[in-house]
Parts: sequence; C-alpha cells; structure tokens
Amino acid sequence: MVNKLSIGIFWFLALIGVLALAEPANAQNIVSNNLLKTEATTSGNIISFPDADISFSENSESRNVHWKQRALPALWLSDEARKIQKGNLSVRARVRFQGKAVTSDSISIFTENNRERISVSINGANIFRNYSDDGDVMLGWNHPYLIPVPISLIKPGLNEIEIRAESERNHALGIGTIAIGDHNALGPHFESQYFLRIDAPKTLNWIMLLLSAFVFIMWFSRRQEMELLWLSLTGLFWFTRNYHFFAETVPIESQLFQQITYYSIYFAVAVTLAFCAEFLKLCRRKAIIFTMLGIGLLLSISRFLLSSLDRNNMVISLMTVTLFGSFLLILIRHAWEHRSSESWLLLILLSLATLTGVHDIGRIPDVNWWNGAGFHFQPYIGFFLFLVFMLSLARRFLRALSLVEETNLHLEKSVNEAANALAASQQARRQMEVERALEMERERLMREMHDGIGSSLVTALAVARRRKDPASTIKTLQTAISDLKITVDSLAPIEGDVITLLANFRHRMEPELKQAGIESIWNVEDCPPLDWMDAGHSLHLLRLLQEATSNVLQHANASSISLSCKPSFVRNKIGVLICLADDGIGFSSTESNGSKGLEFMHQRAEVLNGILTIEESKTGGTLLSLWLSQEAAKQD
Amino acid sequence: MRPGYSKVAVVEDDPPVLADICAAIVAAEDMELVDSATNFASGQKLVANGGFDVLVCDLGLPDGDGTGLIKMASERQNEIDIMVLTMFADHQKVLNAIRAGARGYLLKDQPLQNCIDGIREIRAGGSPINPIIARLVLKQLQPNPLPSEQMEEPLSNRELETLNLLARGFSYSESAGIMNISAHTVATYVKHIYRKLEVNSRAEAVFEASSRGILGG
Repeated sequence: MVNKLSIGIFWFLALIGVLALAEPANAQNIVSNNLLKTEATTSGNIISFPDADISFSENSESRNVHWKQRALPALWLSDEARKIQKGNLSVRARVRFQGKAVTSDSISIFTENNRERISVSINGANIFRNYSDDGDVMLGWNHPYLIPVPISLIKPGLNEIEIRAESERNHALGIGTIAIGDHNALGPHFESQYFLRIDAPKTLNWIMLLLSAFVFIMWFSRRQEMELLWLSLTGLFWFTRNYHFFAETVPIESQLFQQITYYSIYFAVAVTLAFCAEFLKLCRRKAIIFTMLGIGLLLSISRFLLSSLDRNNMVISLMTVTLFGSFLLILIRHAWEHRSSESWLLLILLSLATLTGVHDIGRIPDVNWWNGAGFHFQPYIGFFLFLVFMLSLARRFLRALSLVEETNLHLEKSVNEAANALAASQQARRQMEVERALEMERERLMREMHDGIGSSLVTALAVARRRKDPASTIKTLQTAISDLKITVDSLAPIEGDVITLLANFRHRMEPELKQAGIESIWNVEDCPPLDWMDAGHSLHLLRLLQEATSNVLQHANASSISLSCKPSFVRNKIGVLICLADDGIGFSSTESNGSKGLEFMHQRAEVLNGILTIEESKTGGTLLSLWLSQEAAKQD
Repeated sequence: MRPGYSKVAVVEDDPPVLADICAAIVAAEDMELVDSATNFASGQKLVANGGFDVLVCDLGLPDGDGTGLIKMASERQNEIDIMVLTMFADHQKVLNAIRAGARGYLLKDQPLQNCIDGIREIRAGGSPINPIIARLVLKQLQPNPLPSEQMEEPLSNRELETLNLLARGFSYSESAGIMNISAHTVATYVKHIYRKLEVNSRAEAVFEASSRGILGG
C-alpha cells in the first residue's frame, strides 16, 4: 500500500515535471495530472485512474476546453450537463499516463459504467466507439468494454486517453472506471464482468421470456389456473424490466423505452406477489392480489409525480422494498400457520429478492452507497423467482398427474371389479335360468307321474287289494310304484351327496327288507360330494343298488344287509367306495339267476365311470363294491 | 274326549284309495272317521265344519291344490294334526305342505296298517321324515347363511343334531341310540322341526311381502 502510494506520488511529481517542461502553453489551462494506481499482476501491470479531467465542452477541437479534475467513477453528471448543455448530453473525460508504465506489447483499455454512448481515443486517435451510427441510441451503462490499443499509438512519454460519453437528455450521463494495462491482465476481469452483467442475464432472461410464452399458452388453454397467468406475467414483466441490463441499443423510441423500463419493475413485483398469493392459495388472495396490483399502480403514479417534480427516485425504490416486505409478513403468517415447505421456500426466496433489491438500490448512481458485488443482481432475481415459481408449479402439476394416474388405476380396478361382478352375476343368472328350467321340467314330470301313471298304479293297487287279487299282481304293482319312487328320488336336488342318495334308498327299501326279515346295517363316513352326479347318474346308481338289493331279497337268503360308504383312493384318485354286503348264501349260487341283472349293473357302473366288483365275502355272503371317482364321470 | 282317541277327516279324490283309508280308520278302534271329501270345494266345507283332530289330505285335487286346504285348516285350528297323502313323499310336495301347516305324510301305496300307525304316531307327537327331506330342511334352517338371530325360531342344537343324523341315513332308532334318547323323542324333534319350518317360512314370506311393499310396515 505504502509502496503503491509512493509510486503514485513519484509518478505524480514526475508528471508535473514533465508537463511543465514539455507543454508550457497548456500548463496554465490544464489542471495538473491525474492520479494513477498501478497494480502489478502476474499477467502484467494494470494502471487504473482514481480521477480524471472532466469537461462538458461539446467541441473537442477548441483549445479553450475547461477541464476539471473529478474522482472516478463520476456516474452522475447528467444534472450538471443539463444545466450547461442544450439537447443531448455529453461529457469528456481525460486521463494521462506515462508510456513507460506499460510494459507489454498488447495493451488494452478497460472501461465500464459509462453512460451511455461512448467513443474512446488515445492521443487523439479514435480507437473505439460503441455505436456505428450517430443516430444510434445506445445502452452502454452496464457494458464493460475491453478495447485493444495499437501499440504504435503509445508514446514513450505522456499519453492521453479520452472517453467521450453521450446520452439522451432524459437519460443519465456519467463516466465510469477507466483502466489501461496488459491485455492478459485485464482480460479475466473483463470476461467475468461481461459474463455476469451481459451474457448470463441475457441468456437467462431470454429463456424466461420463452418459458413465459409457454406458460401463457398453457394458461390460455386452462383459464381457471390463474397461477399460470401470474407466472407468465411475472416472466414478462421481469424480462421487460431486465432488458436494459443486457441490451446494447434501445429497440424503440428511447423516451418510451426508458419509461417502460422504469415502471415495469412495480408491475413485476406486483405480479410476482400475486403469483405467490395464488400459488399458496392464501385466504382472501383475490383482495391481496388486487391490493398488490393497486400498489404497483400507485407506485407508478408516485414515480411519475416525483420524477416530474425532479425528485430523487430513491423513495420509490424504498416503497417497492416496503411492498415486498409487507407481503413477506403475510407469507410468514401463512408459512407459520400452515407449516408448508412451499411457503417457507417462497419466503426465503422473496427475502433474498428483497436483500438483492436493497443491494441494487445502493448501486444506483444517484444513491451510490456502495459498488456492492460490482454488478446488479436484479436481472438474476427476476429469473430465479420465475424459475422457482415454475418448478414449484411443475412439481404440483406432476403430483396432480400422479394423483390422476393413481385415480385412473383405482377406477380401472373398480371397473374391472364391477365388470367381473357383472359377469359373475350374469353367469349366476344363466345358471339360475338353467336350474329354473330344469326345476320346471322336473315339476312337469312329477305332475305327470303323480296325476298319470302314479295315480293309476295306486288306484290299481288299492283295487287289487280290495279284490284280494293274487299276490303276484299286488307285487307287480308295488314294484312298479317302487320303481317310480326311485325315479322320483333320483330327481331330488342332492348336489352330488351320495350319502343322502344311499340314505334315501335305504329308507325306501326299509319296509321291504323288514318284511323279509332282513336287518339293514348302516355304516357311512363323511364323503366328498360328487359334483358331476346329475339326475341321470343318480338314477343309474339307484337302479344298480335296487338290482343288487332285490337279488339279496330274492336269492341270498340273508338275515342282514350292510350298506357302507366311505372315501377311498384308487390309483391315487380320490373317490367314494360304496359297499353292499349280505350274509346270505353267496355270490356263486345267485349267478345263474342274475346274469341279465349283473350285465345291467356293469353297464350302469360303466356309465358312472365307476369300478364295480361283485365277489364272495370272507364271511360267506356277497360283497358288492362300487368305486366312484370324484372327477367327472362320462356323460350319460 | 278319550285320551289317544282321534277324530279323522280325509280328503282324497281317488275313490278306491279314499275307500281303503276310510275303511282302515273305521276299523281302528281308537279312531273315528268324522268326514271325507273328494275335491277342493267339498274339502273347504269339511275344513269349515271342523270337528276333527287329524286331517289326511291329498294334494292333487281335480279342482284345486290340497295345500290350500291344509293352510286353511292349520289357520283355523292350531292344535290339529295334518297329514299329506302322497304318492312318493317327494321333497317338493312334502315341504310345501309342511310350510302350509302339515306335520307328516302318508304314502298312498303303504300297507293300510302302516297308515293307521302313522296317524297314531303323529297323535303321539312324532312326525316321519326321509333323508332327502331332512337334508333340504337342514339346508333351509341351518344357522348360516342367515344368522340365527334373524330366524324367527332357530333350531336347537339337539334338533340340528337329529336332523344331521337323519339326513345321513340313520333311522329313528339308530339316531336315538347315537344321541342316547328314545326313538319317540327323535320323532317329536322332527315334529318340532316341521313347526319351526312353517313358522320361519311364514316369517320369511311376511318379510318378503313387506320388503316388496305389499304389507305396510
């Protein structure tokens, strides 16, 4: 520091000496030489100028230019210029340095914060203009410039850099910072400044504009989603506001552009807050949104009045910050009450925006509290607000989509269930119709048997008994009735329950067996139902048993008959084993008489897909076994 | 009235069958034939006149359904015993008759002595049943699918046990042996079961009617 200062003082003294000797004619007119600040970096020296000679004279050729030494940057020269000048404003700044001070072969001038249109010359030779036509209205204030200096223009002695800045009468006029030095030393600083001030804001804001258009189209097809409208307006207003940060020229009439740029900030803030209110579904959000927009309008009017009174616009800036702050209070309350992460996120974001807003206000030339980060945050904050809003909204939409998907799945499931239930009920109905038809048919048959043949047989039996007809006649009639009874039983809805069928058979035969003095022994275990067994199968089974029983009654000379039924496996297949065993004289003696009957029995067993064996039991009687599979039998 | 003495009325459209039964009743010393009818119309008069303890009723009458007569008789006199005269004792007819109020059945081809025994049995408080009917009654009166509280008169456990044994083919005396009761008690259980079937099916009918709005409330 001391070193630099001593170098500075040395150069200062040296320059005075040189100037006093070299140009005595100008000496009285020109304020003594400006200060220099030389910074040595690894890439080379940088000379910066803490002050400069400033002149508002419009004619650069005049030798009576009134130079006045001023500290740099001199950002707010418009007021002075307006007093002196008519029409557009202009100012010239001049700094000097010794040719010896620059050691490198590639020299550049770095300058920034000049308002607005600039041309740069060195030793009287113009080396740079940021405009091409005299009619161009430029936006140079936020642009850093790195201007290569042809080495041939640098004199070994005293060199002079002159920057001429011009701006519209209503615009700001100012001279920013000036530095000269090694191109490589100045380059990185320029690059970063250019990126932070121009490239990044430009890219982000154009992206934001594009996304806003996209969001607006979305809103247009779903008008009830007001968040979308506020979001697209947020993007639009912030873009409008930020355009002057990165644009080089004014795209429209400069006065109008200036006003739009100024006023758009209030609406940008208002719609930003409107979005928050809508997004968080704050209670009374309509009122809040209208208030926000109203305040935006009020701020615009205030600014208009204040600026027409030529007052400092800092008041408005502070009002804007206050607006933000008051909304933050609403948000804090909402976040506190609802404990929603979204509220907290927006709260943090808006607080950050407020802080950066204060930072930027401090950088306004006529406020000039600080240089801050060296660039304005505002072109970023609009974008980040927009981005976070959009992501929050997208997150919400995605969640809604998943919900819809879930709902769809759920609905699909319900529909499937309903369809299945319907199919099942239709099947059940068809089944019922079939059963009903069968039942009706059965009833018809039964009626037929009761009223027709059955009735006749009973009458005949009654008559035969009264007339004391031969026993054989009565027997025949009784057998006919028994046959009918068995047919009737086969029609009973027993759902494949073989035991009930056998039980009823036993019940039917009981009187006859009793009459013949044969005891019936009943020996059943629980058996699985044979679902395939329909009326036809039942009849075959009953007829088979009837045949066997009548054999016992007629030929066996038995004193007991045992009926048994139990589950049994044959060839690993579950089934039911029905046994009819008597203690009579045995199978062989009955064979000759019953060959026809046996044949029928085997035929019936085959229809039932059963295994029929008739053999002599160990105790001497006949044992009939019939195994029926639980699996479906052949259709009769 | 002498204990064990029964006044019997018979409704049967087939003259020979009617004559046989009537003759058997007249011949029985503990029975008296009060009245007889051969069709629905005269059967109605018979029921209206009353004066009998036992009604033996055919179902297939030329001018109507005997079930109607059974219902009338049952509603008129609660304490009488009604028996269906049936050819096959097939479940449909017997169950319908029981729901109408019958407590037993006689088979038309039965030896007449058996018929008289059947009447005596029912007077003593017992009813006949066959395994198919037992199975179907069991299906209808079993606690599920209807919860037993919803049934007007659910079967007692003993009755259920009896019905199970009978449906599985055991005779009254075999069931009695298994359950360690007398065969007569088994027969009275069956009669009780028939009564419950009637009561519950009547309640069911009322429920169905009220749910269809035929009866108010």
